[in-house]
Amino acid sequence: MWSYERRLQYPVNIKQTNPKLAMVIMSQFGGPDGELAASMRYLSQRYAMPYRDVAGVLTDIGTEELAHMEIVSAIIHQLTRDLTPEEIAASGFDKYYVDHTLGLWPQSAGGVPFNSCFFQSKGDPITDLTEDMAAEQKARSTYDNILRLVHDHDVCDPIRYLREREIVHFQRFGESLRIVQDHLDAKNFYAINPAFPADKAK
Amino acid sequence: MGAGKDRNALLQKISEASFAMDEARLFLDTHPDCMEALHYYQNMCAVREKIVKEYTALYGPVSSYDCFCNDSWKWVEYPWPWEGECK
Repeated sequence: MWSYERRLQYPVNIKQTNPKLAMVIMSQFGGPDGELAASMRYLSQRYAMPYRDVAGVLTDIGTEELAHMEIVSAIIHQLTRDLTPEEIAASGFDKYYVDHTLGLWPQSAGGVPFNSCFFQSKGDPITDLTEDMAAEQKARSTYDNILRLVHDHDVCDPIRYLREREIVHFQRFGESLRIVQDHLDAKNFYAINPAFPADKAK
Repeated sequence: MGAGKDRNALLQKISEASFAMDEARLFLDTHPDCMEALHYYQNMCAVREKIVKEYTALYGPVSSYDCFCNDSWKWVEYPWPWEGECK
């Protein structure tokens, strides 16, 4: 069960709107390496995770990713609020605006809608955690790409925080993978899939 | 498994008090001046707090923000809710 806390995990207070930048940052909301995909990836994977401590990491990071989605959404909202039709037409935000006005809808910067094919839930702990580590690095690269385009400190500051969290999560998933491997046959990690009961009976 | 039975019964009480609050909260969102609902919410809040305290002392934390552990971290030690009662 989840409950909502009326606060952002990291504050967002942007004074200057910038719809062009909002279009780019939108990828970290509903894009292939975005926060929505991250949260759904970890929260989907935890049911097949046979080790409680690692299932806890998936729960806690999956929950934090929802909070990150809220931070990214707040950035997009503050970058696009109170826009005039002239500003919308001049910035290239018009193609998004025509379908969503100033509302938030999960898509990539290129306009590709959110899709659960952005992530995998394989039901194999080694496979899932290896994907999770790659996902954190892909998100870190995306934040690095965004930071090269941002010159407003009010936007840079929360983006840098989110980038830092990717690195921390990568570290914890690495530790989780090691915990899983410690449960397995050291001579052959792939001898069985510990999340598949018929294999465990072998 | 007697301990598991007691644990599930207490957890059920938390779920009941929590749902009463979830339902009253939604009602209050659109009826913010209803005194009857306001008192109901406050009463259920006190009920929930008491049961959560009792559960946490016996079986570990319900919320990670209430996870106070002296010797080792208990958050990931207990069964997760999706495991079902048979575990």
